[in-house]
Amino acid sequence: MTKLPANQLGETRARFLAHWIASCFGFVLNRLLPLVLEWPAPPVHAVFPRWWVLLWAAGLASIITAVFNANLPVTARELMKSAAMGFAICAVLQILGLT
Amino acid sequence: MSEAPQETKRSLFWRWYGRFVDTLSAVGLMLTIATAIYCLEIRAHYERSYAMGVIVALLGLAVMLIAWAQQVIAARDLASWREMVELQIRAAHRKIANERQSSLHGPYFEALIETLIADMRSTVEDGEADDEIAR
Repeated sequence: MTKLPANQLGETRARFLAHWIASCFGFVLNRLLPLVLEWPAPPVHAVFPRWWVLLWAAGLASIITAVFNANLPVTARELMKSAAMGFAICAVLQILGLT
Repeated sequence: MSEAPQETKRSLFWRWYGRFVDTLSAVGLMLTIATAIYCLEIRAHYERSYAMGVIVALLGLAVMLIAWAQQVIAARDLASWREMVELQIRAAHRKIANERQSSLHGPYFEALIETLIADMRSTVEDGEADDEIAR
């Protein structure tokens, strides 16, 4: 077993989980934010995915975030970055027309 | 963790700046999560099955908070453990310093105590490695 370099914290299960879930929240927020802006009038032409489709998409896309961010400490600052990354991944997928 | 990050002295300004940014990001994170759950709740008005999504989101939030607490507790445990061992090492050093002045300063005892300290240090490092594995 080799030791971690001094400038790294290392991945742990709790870190992976926390950043993954934070990223999922960011993803879902990007997808559903039009609802808040249009409430209470329903957005006419907007099409929203079924909830399980949304959840699976968020979970799969957030794996990218979790892989990159799993060695960050679990603090509000770092979770913000994870949420922002989930938001950004969703935006990229929407621009590419994949969601 | 081969080298523990050293606690450095920071000026009052930087301490308060750090606290300010921490609070700001905590508020931002809370707003993000609350808005996401609120969005799911609004969607549930149009599509009933989204209520399940709200429940999943709340469960996810709970899991995230538990993981957060686990990390905080682990860090605190490690800090208190290290503090305790450092106290013991300092006490041993003080003991050696006192005994050097008194009559009991044979090379045997010095070697013994140095060995004990080295042993304790390696134990601490192993403990840290074990902590890393446990986490």
